[in-house]
Amino acid sequence: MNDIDINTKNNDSDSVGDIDSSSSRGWAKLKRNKAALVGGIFLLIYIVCAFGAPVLFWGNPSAPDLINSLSPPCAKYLLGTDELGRSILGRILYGSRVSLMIAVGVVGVGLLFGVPVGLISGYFGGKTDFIIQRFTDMLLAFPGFLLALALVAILGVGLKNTVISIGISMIPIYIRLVRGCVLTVREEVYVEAARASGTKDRHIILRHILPNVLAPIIVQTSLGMGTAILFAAGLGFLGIGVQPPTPEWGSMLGSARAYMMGKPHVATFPGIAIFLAVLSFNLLGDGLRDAFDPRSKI
Amino acid sequence: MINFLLKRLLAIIPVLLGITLLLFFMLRMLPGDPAQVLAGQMASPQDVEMIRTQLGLDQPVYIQYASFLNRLVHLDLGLSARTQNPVIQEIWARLPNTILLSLCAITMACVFGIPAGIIAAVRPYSWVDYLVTIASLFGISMPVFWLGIMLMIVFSMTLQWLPAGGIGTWKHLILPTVTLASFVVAFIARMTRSSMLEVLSQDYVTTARSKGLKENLIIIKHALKNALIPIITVVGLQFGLLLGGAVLTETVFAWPGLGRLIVDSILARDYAVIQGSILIFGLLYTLVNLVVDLIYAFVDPRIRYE
Amino acid sequence: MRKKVRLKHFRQLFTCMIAVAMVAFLLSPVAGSAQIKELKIGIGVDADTLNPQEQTTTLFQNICDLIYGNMYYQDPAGNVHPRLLAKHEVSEDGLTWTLHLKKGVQFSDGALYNADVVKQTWDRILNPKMRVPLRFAVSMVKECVKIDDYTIQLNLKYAFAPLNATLSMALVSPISPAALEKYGEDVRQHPVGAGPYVLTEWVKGDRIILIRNKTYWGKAPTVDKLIFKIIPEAITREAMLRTGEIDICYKPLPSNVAALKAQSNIKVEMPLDTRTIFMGLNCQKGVTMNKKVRQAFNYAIDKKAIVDRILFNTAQPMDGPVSPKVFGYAKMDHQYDYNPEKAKQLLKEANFDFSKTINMRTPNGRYLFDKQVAEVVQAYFQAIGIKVELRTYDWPTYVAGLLKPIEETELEVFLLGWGPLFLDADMALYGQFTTEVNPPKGLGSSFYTNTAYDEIMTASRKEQDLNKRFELLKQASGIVWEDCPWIWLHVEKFVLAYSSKIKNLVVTPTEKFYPTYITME
Repeated sequence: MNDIDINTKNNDSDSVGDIDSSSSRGWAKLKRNKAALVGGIFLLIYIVCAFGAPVLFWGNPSAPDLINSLSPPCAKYLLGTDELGRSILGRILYGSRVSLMIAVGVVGVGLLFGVPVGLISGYFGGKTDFIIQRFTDMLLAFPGFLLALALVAILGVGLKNTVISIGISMIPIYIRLVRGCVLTVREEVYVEAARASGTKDRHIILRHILPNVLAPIIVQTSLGMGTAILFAAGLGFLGIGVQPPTPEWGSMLGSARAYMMGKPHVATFPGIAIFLAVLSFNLLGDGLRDAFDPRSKI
Repeated sequence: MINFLLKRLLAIIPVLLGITLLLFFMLRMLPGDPAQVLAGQMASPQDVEMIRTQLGLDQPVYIQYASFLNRLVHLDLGLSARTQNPVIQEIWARLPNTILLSLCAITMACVFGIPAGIIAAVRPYSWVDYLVTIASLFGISMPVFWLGIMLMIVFSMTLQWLPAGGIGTWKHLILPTVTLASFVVAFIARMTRSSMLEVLSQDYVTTARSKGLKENLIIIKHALKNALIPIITVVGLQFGLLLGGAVLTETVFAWPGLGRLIVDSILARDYAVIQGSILIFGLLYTLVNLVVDLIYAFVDPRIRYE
Repeated sequence: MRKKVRLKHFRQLFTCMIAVAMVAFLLSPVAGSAQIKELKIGIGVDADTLNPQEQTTTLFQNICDLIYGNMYYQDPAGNVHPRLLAKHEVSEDGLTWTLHLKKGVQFSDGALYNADVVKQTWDRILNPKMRVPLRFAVSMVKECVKIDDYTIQLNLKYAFAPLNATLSMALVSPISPAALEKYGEDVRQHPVGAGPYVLTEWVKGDRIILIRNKTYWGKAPTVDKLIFKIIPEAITREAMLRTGEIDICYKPLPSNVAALKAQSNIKVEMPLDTRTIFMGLNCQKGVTMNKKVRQAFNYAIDKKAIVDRILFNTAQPMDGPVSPKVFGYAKMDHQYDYNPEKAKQLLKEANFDFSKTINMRTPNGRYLFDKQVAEVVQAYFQAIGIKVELRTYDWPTYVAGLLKPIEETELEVFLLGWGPLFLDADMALYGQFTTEVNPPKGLGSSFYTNTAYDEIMTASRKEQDLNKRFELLKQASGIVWEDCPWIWLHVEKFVLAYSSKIKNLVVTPTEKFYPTYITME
């Protein structure tokens, strides 16, 4: 499946200021990676579903049709219907919007807070770093899903709160990641040179450091989106996720539990949807890592 | 070694303080009166008043925090709004079950994940390697509750081989353990594979090979020992994921553990119990990370001096 | 060879068994029935408290009944039988009830049961400092006075005809005075009563184990040990019933009832319940103030389809404001059959503002498929052009929302269930629709108020004559049915699935079951 050796040591590729050529090499590598390609294709389908849901599915995904409830897949309902007679296909298509929204929102929260804080922490060091790191320790002391659970308990249920809760649980991961990368980049000659020539800190961070820590951030973003979908599905399954009748995959699976014995299709299709979406992010994330950030491991 | 141990223990203190601080403010972030929140919606005014005096809500925040810590030290986590029982009792009754399940799952994950990773690394790009890679990707991408329910339908309802839920005999452990271990196995296998691959390309392995040492010996004695550090790190980190997954697994398999308690408490707005159980999970996770660090030092003495 | 040996063993075993059975037959007070060692019952949640005065959940009141016994027992047909109370007399004005206690009863810890104990129980119930969430059910009682060692007197604030049925509630079961002394309020964890069973083990979140009370005053139970296993997931519970890990499955999922019924080794019983499920409509605020709008809402929803497709016939549509199981029920002449055209016409007559979005709320998982029912109601509304936003809440928040006074309430349309705890319409008709129970004083969260209705209900409480009382309740039903403070949805059934080996399990319309005297094949 993997065409390239994950662990090739390519110290040459991240030489000073040579970002463009190393990234183009990365792209070439990525394209050769079949697994990543499969992931990318899945992802593309998924995004098309999310944006094209109204075009792909004409009806209202929340409109019940009680007479046809729990219908197995048939010509009228390609993937069958759920307990209220709603088209499962329609709900999965519209559900892809919700889950994409969650994935992007969650990672957005993580990036928005995690990256700047990580940059500052790593670049300035000293007391700032110490305080930020203790704060990160504090958040990291809770397993991610549990932190999200606790936050939902405080903020309450709903789409927005789901995104915020899972997003916050991801912030420390980004802080750690970015800080770690900054620490290695900070000592590089070109950063030292920039600093010596009196370049402003902000400029150094944005121009010299950020581009060099971008690769691991991108990898983490892809993997993080997968995790976000899984977490949101978990919350939905426990009944503390988004509100009905919003078609969210996890809560679809959660309600479908009741019908799994006799009508397994009700649970199977949302289950497959979650699985494929997460899988595609993971495949792509793996490919991205192999291509752009071969030294990191997880 | 003792020095390292002491240092490492000291380093935990700020983390612990951080955990308590976070939980302390968690309650105060909620809208409304913390005493009312803790007592629950059904509580009588007397109950609320009692909690108010106990929390010292009329005093400055730092004193409230200090008394919160003081109560924690005395294992006083307050009363559950739902059962009127001390929270620590509620937790104590369920903690061993969660620990048992987590330990079984992590053991199983190591027992299957590490060998799978080694085999995949020893024969890269063989069908075994692909199988491990694909299987681990499946494991990582599978929603754990879905897997759990499917396993239950197949092995309990259809085949009737294993009990569907609850605790009791070792048989009750199988399905929850497999479910919970599934994605951790995947992570560990992946990590072991990449770590082993790296080590196997190192000079000393080549040297060992050129000396004509047996391949098995090389793998176990030279490569594995050096590949172990990142593997241990992963196992430690995965423990966190495992505890999160335990919430879902316990729900599916009626496992009376701490995860299920949290979910029940969230649904019942029993904040004292939520606070207490999250705290215990935090402590547990911190403890695991400490143990991981100690194992590090044991496996690789260099780390102590860093 | 081996077969022979086995056969021989069998014969020996068989002889032994017969001998044992005969001895048991001779010794046992229950003639003819073999003692059953244990019975495993799968339930969904763990008990919060086993203090009967504190308990609000039917299932745990059920367990309390087994531990404490009841003052009176109301059978599934509604007849009241003596238990810890031998009999009672009511004064002419209905304000004084004299209760005669059963003599010679002991609590399982040996403490004596007498008038002092019963008075102590009532004092605790009536003490506003004690946590008694269901106190409203006995709010007519002013005080309890001891007459002699085995007689007490209840003085009422107002006459209340169905007080005898009220006395069948776990709410008024006495706790052993010795246990109260020993444990204080912690008695909720260490229940001691005078019932047929005794709590021996309670593993939090996993199981509650009761064993037979050896000193029980009544007929000895046929089951030695009852194990209540806590299994939160309904499908897991059903799976365990199928695999034989449990003998009784409490409330399996409606969606799986048909599959369970198809199993030859499983019996499914589902008597009609007292609990009615409805959509409360705020009668004093918002668009639902208009009676025509409320009636239109009733026509807009196909209740039969909900019962049939969503609830798999584990319920039946309401045809009167109370469950057919309670005294005072009468089927209403006019029915709000599904008629979206009529609904639209009524809305038009009421000048309904279709641009406004109505807020609907529902608990999630409290009643059979409550969220799904609410989603369907929402869809029926949308089908006639009404915009509805649905929200789910956890139960404590939901109840807090129900209890807010009219000035603060945000309720517009809300799903709720109301199940009288004994078989009388009073708790539903009085407890939901009189002005007196409008929040925050009660849970009549529709804020229905009608002076004529209030007068009839007050009169019904004073009426000792059953026939006259029935007429009053029927009259009140007619008024409220016409006014539609609710969308009348359905009456739930109490579903219990159990091994078909079990015979004589008592299952009541108040959602209780008593395995005390079962036999097994």
